[in-house]
Amino acid sequence: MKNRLRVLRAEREWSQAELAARLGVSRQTVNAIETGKYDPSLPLAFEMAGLFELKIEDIFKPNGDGGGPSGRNSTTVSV
Amino acid sequence: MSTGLPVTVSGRRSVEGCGRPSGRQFFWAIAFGVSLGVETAVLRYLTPPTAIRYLSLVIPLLTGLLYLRAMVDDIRRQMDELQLRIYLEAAAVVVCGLFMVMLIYPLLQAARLVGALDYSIVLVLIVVLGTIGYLSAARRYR
Repeated sequence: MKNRLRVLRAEREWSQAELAARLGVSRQTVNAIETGKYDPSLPLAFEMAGLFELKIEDIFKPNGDGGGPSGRNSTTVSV
Repeated sequence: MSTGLPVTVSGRRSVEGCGRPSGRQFFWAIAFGVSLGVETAVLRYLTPPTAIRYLSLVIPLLTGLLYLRAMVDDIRRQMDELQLRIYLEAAAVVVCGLFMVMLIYPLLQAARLVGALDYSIVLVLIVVLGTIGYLSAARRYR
């Protein structure tokens, strides 16, 4: 899953540690999410959305460019 | 009571310093270790009456259970979700690894490559598999 966390954080001039403190997680978690190595839990995703005052889908995008719910099973049908 | 830690949007407290054992967990870990040592020494060097021997076994068991409860409480209360994921992956490696060893061990025994399965081997396996699982998961997410 892709995300805009790094951009959103940079816009607010927050460090990873600062964002982590606001979200109630460790800095390693923020780093792992930003680098795409770890997908957050739904409660944490909601926490992020609330913090940035955005919808979850404005922060996270499926890898397959948003075809299916997870991007894994998305298929493009051309007519 | 204010903890000085930032409060998140949903009101969750920050997990700054997560993963560190609480004083309660530390206390029960020490109590468990000490009671285990004392119990081992008593059973090895003294010959107490049967009733006392059985009763004294309750102490390390009880301190062990209290340690386990303190550890689970700490995990629930303060562990960060990535850290928890790493621990769970390490635990999965331990469980699956031990299961495989249990299946393979009788074959090794039949081939006369190893002797009877000693519980100390299982202890070593738990530590080794847990360390491998933890390091591998931690590396993947960093």
